[in-house]
Formats: sequence, C-alpha cells, structure tokens
Amino acid sequence: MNIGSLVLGLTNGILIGLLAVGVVLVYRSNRFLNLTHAQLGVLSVQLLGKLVLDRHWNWWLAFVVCVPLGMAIGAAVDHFLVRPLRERSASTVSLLLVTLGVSQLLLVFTYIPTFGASSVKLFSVGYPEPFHSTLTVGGVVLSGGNLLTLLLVPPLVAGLGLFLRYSMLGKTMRAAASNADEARLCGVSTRRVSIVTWAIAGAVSAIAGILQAPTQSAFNAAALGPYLLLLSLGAAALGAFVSIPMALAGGLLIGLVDQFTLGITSNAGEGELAVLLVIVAIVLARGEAIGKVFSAGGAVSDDRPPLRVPEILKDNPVVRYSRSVPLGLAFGLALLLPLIPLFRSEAQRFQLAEILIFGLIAVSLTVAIGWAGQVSLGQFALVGVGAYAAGHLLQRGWSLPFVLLLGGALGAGVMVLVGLPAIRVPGLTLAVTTLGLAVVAPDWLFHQRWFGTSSAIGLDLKVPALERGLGRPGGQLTVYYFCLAVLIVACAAMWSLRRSAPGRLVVAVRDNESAAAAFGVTPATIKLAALSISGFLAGVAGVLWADAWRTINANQFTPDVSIAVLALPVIGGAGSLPGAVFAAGVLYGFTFFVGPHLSAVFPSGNAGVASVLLFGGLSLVVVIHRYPQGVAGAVQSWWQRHLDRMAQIAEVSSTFEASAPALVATNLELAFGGLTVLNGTAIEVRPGEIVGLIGPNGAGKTTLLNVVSGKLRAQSGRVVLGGVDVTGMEPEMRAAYGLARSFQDAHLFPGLTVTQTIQVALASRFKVGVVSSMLGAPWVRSSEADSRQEADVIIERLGLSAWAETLTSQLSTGSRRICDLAAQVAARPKLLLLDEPTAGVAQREAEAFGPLLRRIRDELDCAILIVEHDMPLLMGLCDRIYALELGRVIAAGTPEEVRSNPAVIASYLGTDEAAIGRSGRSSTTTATRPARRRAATPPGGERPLRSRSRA
Amino acid sequence: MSPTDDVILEAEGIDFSYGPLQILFGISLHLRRGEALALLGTNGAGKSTLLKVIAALVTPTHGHVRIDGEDVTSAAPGNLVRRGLILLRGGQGVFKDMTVAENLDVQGLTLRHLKGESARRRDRVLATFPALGQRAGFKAGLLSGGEQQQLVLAKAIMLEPKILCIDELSLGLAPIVVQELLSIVRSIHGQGTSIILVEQSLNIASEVCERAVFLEKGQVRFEGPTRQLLESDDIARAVFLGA
Repeated sequence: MNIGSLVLGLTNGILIGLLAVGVVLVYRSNRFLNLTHAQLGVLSVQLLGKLVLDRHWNWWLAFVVCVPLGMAIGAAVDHFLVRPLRERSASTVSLLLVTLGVSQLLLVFTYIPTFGASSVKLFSVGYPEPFHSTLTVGGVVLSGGNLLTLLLVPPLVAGLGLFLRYSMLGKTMRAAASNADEARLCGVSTRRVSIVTWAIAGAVSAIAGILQAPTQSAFNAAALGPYLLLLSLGAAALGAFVSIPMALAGGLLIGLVDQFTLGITSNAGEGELAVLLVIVAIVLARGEAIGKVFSAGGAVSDDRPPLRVPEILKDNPVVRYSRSVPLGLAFGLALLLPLIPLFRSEAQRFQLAEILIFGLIAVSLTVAIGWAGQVSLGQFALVGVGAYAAGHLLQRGWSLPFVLLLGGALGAGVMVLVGLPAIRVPGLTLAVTTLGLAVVAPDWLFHQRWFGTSSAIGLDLKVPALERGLGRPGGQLTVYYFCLAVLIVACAAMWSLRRSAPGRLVVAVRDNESAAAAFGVTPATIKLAALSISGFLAGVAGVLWADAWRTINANQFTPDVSIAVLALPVIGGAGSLPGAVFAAGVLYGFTFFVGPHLSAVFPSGNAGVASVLLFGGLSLVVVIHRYPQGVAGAVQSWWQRHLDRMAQIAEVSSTFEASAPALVATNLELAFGGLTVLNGTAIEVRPGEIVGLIGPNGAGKTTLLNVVSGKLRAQSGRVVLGGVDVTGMEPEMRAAYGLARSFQDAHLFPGLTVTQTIQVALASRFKVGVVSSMLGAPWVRSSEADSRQEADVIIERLGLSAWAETLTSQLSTGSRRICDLAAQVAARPKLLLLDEPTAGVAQREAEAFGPLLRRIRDELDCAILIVEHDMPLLMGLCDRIYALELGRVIAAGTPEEVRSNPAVIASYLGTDEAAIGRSGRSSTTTATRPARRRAATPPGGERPLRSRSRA
Repeated sequence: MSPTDDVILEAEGIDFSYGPLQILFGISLHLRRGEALALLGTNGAGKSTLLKVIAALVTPTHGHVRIDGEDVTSAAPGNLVRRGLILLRGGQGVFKDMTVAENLDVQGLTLRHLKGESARRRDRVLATFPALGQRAGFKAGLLSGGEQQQLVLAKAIMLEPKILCIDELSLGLAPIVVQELLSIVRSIHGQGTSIILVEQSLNIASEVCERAVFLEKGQVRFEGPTRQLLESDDIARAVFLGA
C-alpha cells in the first residue's frame, strides 16, 4: 500500500469515524441505535449539490447553509418523533424502528428531482468539491474534498471531544446519558440535552455526507444512505457504541481496509465485501462489550396480551366464528381477486402475485422481529439469494417445488452465516451484520459468476418459463395461485410452530436470555433456529420472485428495499401473522395501484420504490406512535372491548335487583360554562312508579333526563339504576340495565315501517351477525320470525295495528309518538324516560296517552319518569311529582301536594286556573310564567285548548 | 434548635399512577422549617414515589406540592433545586460514567450565574470528605458503595439545601458506613436544614427524626412523634415484617 492510497484511506476513514461519532452520541444519550443517522444529512448533501451545480452558489456559502439544515432535521426528528416515544418508555426495538421509518421518509426526498441537482450535471461534472486541488501525494491526486476532510474533520472530532469533556453543556450531556433522573434533579433539562445531541448528530451526518459524496464513483443519494449507515454502525461497534475515540478508530480502520482492497481489486463490490468482513470481525471481537452495553437497555419488544373470551360468551356464534369467518373471507377474496375484471391483465395479476410474495416476506420478518426480537435489515438480500438460485436451477430444468425447498435452504444458510457473529450477544447487533448483507449482496454477491451473473455489466439474467414442476404452462394466474398456496402453507406452519414448544422457547429467549439459559436452553441455538426459519421463508419468497418476474436483476434487491419491508411486521403488529400479511396487502396494494399516480412527484422509474418508502415510512412512524402493537393490536383491543361489553350486557339481566329503586339520582351537579343547570339535584323513582317532573323552562328537566340516560355526564353526583351504579357508563350500557328514553321530537326512521321500526328496537334482543344473515343461516330465519311475532304483539297492544305497514314518516305526530313509545317498550325497560310526549300532539291523540302509559306500567312493571307541562295529564297519571327550579328540587310529593305547594305556584303554576287546566280559551291576561311549549299553538291563541275531564 | 411551626413544604391530596396502576391515594403531609420528618412504610408503600412527586421528577394526577406556600407541583426539577429542595437518592444518585469532580460540577449547574461559586464549593466539599478528595479524578462507578453514598451526600451539601429529601440512605451499606453517614445527616440537620428521610429501618429513622409519617398501600396510616410509633406495636411490626 503506497503513501497515496494510505492518505486516501485515512481521509475516508476519518469521515466514517465522524459519522460513527454521531451514532455514538445518540446511543449514549438515548440508548438505542439510530438507524436514521446517515440519512439525517442526506437532504443537506442533495441540497448542496443543487445549490452549487444548478444555482451556481459558492461552495462555502452552500456548506454554511446545508450544515444547519442537517442540525435542524436532527433536532426535529428528536423533538417530534423520538422524544414522545422515549418519554412513554417504549421498547428499544420500537425506537430503532421509528428511526427506520424516519430514514425511509428522508430517503423519499432523494427520489424527488426538485431536491437534488440535475442528474445530467451530476453525471458530467460530478458532485461539487469545495475547491480545486491538484496536490499529489504518493501518486494519488487529493481532491479538494479530501484535503478539506483532512483539515476539517480531525479538529472537529477533537473539538467535539473537548466540548463533551470540559464544557458545562458537554458535562450535562454526559450526565443525562449516564443517569437521566439524577441529571434532572441537578437542574439539567434532559429534553434540551437530547435536542442538542440530535442536532450535533444531524450536523455531523451532513458534513460527513457532503465530504463523502464526491468520492462515490457514481453519485446515488439513495444508495449512499444505507451504505454510509453500515460503515458508521460498524465503526461505532468498535467502541461498543459508547466510546467516541474507539468509534473514530473504527472509522479509520474501515476506511483503510476499504482503500487497501480497492488498491488490489479496483472493484467496488469487493471493497464492500472486505468492509463487511472487517465489521463482522469487529462485532465478533467486541461482542462482550456490546452485550454489556445493550443489557442496560430496556425491554426488547412488547407482545399483545392474549384475548380473554368471557365465560358467558363462549357459546355465542359471533365469538366462536370470530377468527374463522374473517380468515375465510380473506381466503375467498384472495381466490377471486385475480378473476375480477379490474385485475385481469397479466401486468396486474403479476402485481397481485408480488403482493403475496411481500406477504411471505412479511411472515419471515415476523418470525425474526416479532418472535425472536432480532432486527434483520437484510431480508431482501435473502430474497435475492433465493431468486438467483432459482434462476440458475430452473434453467437447468429442476422442478419448481424442489427448487422452492432448495432456495429456502440457501436463504436459511446465508441468514445463519450472517447471524452467527451477531447472535452470541444480547441486543440488536444482527441489525449491523444483516445491513452488511443488504449492501454487499447486490453490489458483489449477485455479480459473481458462481452465484449470480457477470454478464455484460453483470445485471441481467433471463429466466425461462418455470412451470416444469407443475406440468402445465400458464401465465401470471398460475404464478398467483402458486404464491397463494405457498403463503397459506407458510402461515399455517408458522402458526402451529408458534403454538408449540419451539415457538415458546423462541419467545422465552427473546424476553430473558439468562433465565432461559438457566432452564437448560441454549439461547444462541434457539436464536439461530428462529433466524434460519426466517431466512428459509425469505429464500422461498425469492424463488417465487424469480417465478413471477422472469427477469432477475441485482437492482431489484437494493438495501433500501430491505429497509422498506421492515415496516410490514411492525405495521401488522407484534408478531401477528395475519397482521403482517394484511400490512403487505395494504402497503403494496397501495403502492402498485395508487403509487403510479404519484409519478408527477417522483420520476417514472423510481415511483415504485419511492412510494413504498413514503407509505412505509409514514405508516411505520404513525403506527409506532399511535398503535404500538400494530394493526393486529389495535383490532384485538377493539374486539376485546367489544367482548367485555357484550359480556357485561349479557350478565346484566341476572344482576338486576327487583326490589331496588328503579332510579336513584343523588347530588347531581352540572354547569355549562358559568351557567348552573343542575345544582345538587336528587330524585328517586321506585319500581313500577310513575313520576312526573315539572318546572319552568330552563329548570333542568331535560338535562336531568340526559344525565340519567347518559347522554350528558354530571360533574358530580351519582346515578343508580336498579341498584347498579351507572354513573360512569355509556348510554348503551345503561340501556342494558333497563333504561329506555323517548326524545322531545320523535324522529324515528323515516324510511322504515312501524313494524320494521319495532324490529329495529328488538334487535338487541334478537342478535344476529351481519355475515350470518347474509348467508341466510338457519338460526337467522327462526330469530327473524320470533322478532316479527313480538313486534306484532307490541303493535297490537299499543293500538297501532292499523298503521303497522305505514312508513313512520307518514304517521301523524301523535301516532309517531306512540310508535316511538312502542319502540321503547320493545326493549322491555325497567325505567322509561319520557320527555314531553304530548308536546305538539293533537288534543285527541294526547288524551290517549294517559291510559296508554298506565297500561305499559301495569303490563311491563316498568317505572316511568315523565317530563310534561300538561298538568291535567300529570295529575291523573303520576304517583308522585317533583318540581324543579334552577336545577334544584323545590317540591316533591303526591300530585295534590305539589299542586298546592306555594313555591311551585310561585315559580311555575301561577294562579291562573285556566292556564293550568288549559280548559277554555287561551288568555292573554296570564301574567304568570307557566311554560307554554306548544309550538303548534298559533300566535293569538285562537285555537281552542283542550278540555280535560280528568283535572 | 427547636422546630418552629411554620410549614416549609406541604403536599396536599397527592394521587399518582404509573399507567393503570395507582400508587398514591390522596396523600397529604407537611414539613416544618428545621424539622426532620421520617417517611416510613413497607416495600411498595409509595415512599420513593412520593419523594419523586415532591421533587417534581414526576407529576401527580391530582394534588399539589407547595414550598413556602407557593405551588410547585408542575415546576421543572431544576426550579426546585434553585428553591433549595434537594432529593438525594441512595444507590442511584451518581453519574457512574463521570469522575467525582465532574459529578460535583454538574450538581453545581444551578449555581452557574454565580461566577466561580460552583468550583469553590466543589473544592470545599472535597476537602470535607477526604475520601472523595483523594478520588476526585476517579469515575464514580469505580467507588465503593459507601464512597458513592458519601458522594451523594456531598452533592447535596454542596448546594446548601433548605429542604433535603433523602431516599434510602442505608440501602445495602455496612453498619459502620451507615453510622458515619448518619452523623453527616445530623450535622446537616443541625445547620437548620429541614429533612424528609425515607427509611426501611425504624431505628435509623428515630435516630434522626422527631416526627414520622407512616405510609401503607399509598395512604397515610399514622402521623406523630417517632417515639410513639416505636411504642405502637402493630405499626412497628408492620414496618419490620411488612404485615
């Protein structure tokens, strides 16, 4: 190695070291691997290229603008995305994956042409250098970028070290990293420290990226990210992710090795291979130290709790078929999808098949991440391994099923090989070595004659038709169904694996290696087994990939795809197989069928990858923040809540106490803004009692009903129904406890007949699933007949028979009220709340209400709480009456007692018998404040008011 | 020096939950100026959590903390340090990756506005604790348990607190070391600092404190002179046996 390449290697190594220092900084303060580190600066790299090449800015000016951009991105990532998670004490895997999502989002920018220099200029001129240099050392020309690196970076790192060691801010940063709580107790703002850390990391990433970019043979911002990440992670590994000097040394080591290899082979791929070998060696050598640091971290990942099915619902058909019916439907959909007209072209069927392949890859990642807790960043390289193997073997006429097994075995073998150095220690070192695989495979392995192809530029390989093993030729439809079959077999196998002894061991080792070891389990073996299964599935996916694509190309398996697919198991949720497959379907379905419409933003060639990165990154970030357990977790917790509620409702009927008061409301307080509506209100309704509620407008009557029914929540006080405290319950739960209510304006359902309306009300008692009723299951038909019969009885009892088949919208107001009442009665309530049932009802119809309500009470043994202004109706109907004023009970007792109560007379009734009894003509001399809510009464009051014999 | 009656620290109706798990249920206590108060209770009674609430490391779901009558419930911990409240946590109060001197430097963060004051006090404290003075350049994680606890105390003394909350002073230490530390605490108290001492050991608490509050399952079960607590058999047994 001559002096020239030594200097070049050092230059490169210093840059890698600088990046590694950024990784170390974040790791020390946050305790997780920041996978977005290299990408923090990618935007700055692009922008500088654009400013200098397209806008003809001075390089230095652009540099001064672009480095703070990196800082700002770093700070923003911490503030908006990482810190909220950290403060929720999320697991290290969640944090690592969220940075992965961020890195995908940042990579998206590299696919938007507006953010970078024109590719023509980049190609002809190359990435800009700070100044032109012809300095020659040992036969090597050092470019301006190289010189600047040598001049700028060593003082920069030294300065960073001095800053951390001696400045107060540096000390507080170290203190916060060492013991966050104690640092806060010393007055350190850990948030500020974390933001500063990330800003420094962002600046470091930007500087390193800008200085590194000119040395890339063909500048490709998207590929730059993962490779730089690999280099910096490898260098940081030398310092066990915590030591800054060692990280810098690691960078130098890697840079020198890279240069040395290039000097021998002048092949970039082999350079990368050598670097990967160095990194593997580093991981092997420093395994113990890395393991020690990692064990200080938190939980690796979190599982969903198993679903609890309440005993009382065990036989409920909805519960029993809750798994099989959705799965069956999904299967049916998958079977039919390629046959519907929308997807009948070969190209679309090909894309559908590809979605299934991604589903299989998602399953393989679920095994690795969800079950074994190991993050593999190289899964797509394994797919490539399977694909190339299939390419060679199928051309030689091997049968497809056999090739499938071989491809899987090869994938498993490569995964074990790459995993071996990493799995000896706890933690996430596998991320580093698999990232190495992701980078090296497409750049080196797939160009080797013995494995891939070295033809021409070494990218292309034709594969003939592949159906030999199946015996008959066919298009993409055959491929699709073959993929579907493989996916189903894989899912079934994994499902039963998870439920058996090996599956339990995998999880046990993930959760606590030393405890598992104490039970005689060898953690490394178990981890290797899980990884080899994951690799097998990825290899199988590769064979399918070759089958579907017919053309294999190293560019299909770039590291950014490996990173993109990692979103799948996370979105799917904590180790859930259906979740992962679902995520693949949604994410790639969206990409293939919606992504092309984004070609306005992304240039046509890259729209695919860019939209996967965009959707994947976005959903990764959103899911980790909002639904830490993914789609599966969200669905399960929703279903659990639903089950619990169903169980509660099912249990209610048995717990209802007959002797307890139908309603006890005590000490209710409610204010809207400054307006007190309920002010220590307390009422009681005994079983089978009819209780009236009177009071001037705004006294709080309707509000009281709303609080009892649960539509409103009181700010204090309790509501007890039949001995059960329902204060905190939702309205539908209260309904289960025997509560029904009518509204002031009975809207009902204008499009349903009276009978149908009653049947809707009966639905809660004759429960039938949507799916089962669509399928016309036998129990549906019998329950339909029962509900019809019951509806007829109710309709007859309430005297609505003549209108049974009339639409409710065509009923008179009074009949509609009675229909509403019938609907309430259908639920067989223990307490019926009626809010002004006779308001706006013609006199004749209103008169029918009294006897009707009494009959309901007598037949159903149902207590009634009724708000009315119609005193004669109340006087004849009620057992007791409460009078309310300003949210307080001012009188209670028999109708006669309340009627003669001076306070009630003063505030509500007044002294005008005519207004109270509403017999005779409306009098304009009425000076009292009786509430006259009869909206139907025309102004002037010419309409004769009703006469009531009852009063 | 006799405890005067004015209240320097007051916690009122404190509720606190870790997620769905409620730890503290409406705890109220007060600390008079110059008083030493023992906070006792079984494992998991919520003593350490209460101190964290008082030091504003965590925010309670309900209730208030007041210093000198001023509400500091949701202040930053650093603000409380500036007001003279120090929480000293046995066994976890040092920065293990940093040297003894650096530990004290970070502790002096709130003295930044007084030029040179932090360094002066650091040197004085190092002189007071000769064992620490000799190891000023050592990483704190390399010190023995007793020395680390000395460092924790030294950090507290350095800021000359008005209120000192001590969490588990004697945890995992040899009796002779505890004795040494106790004499330091007593001398801090003697200089007029009000103290809340969380302890598992009733004897150690009664050595220093006149008054005690006994917590059980997140609620105050006893409050009164420490002597009375020692005499009251059932509570004393509860402290020792975790009944």
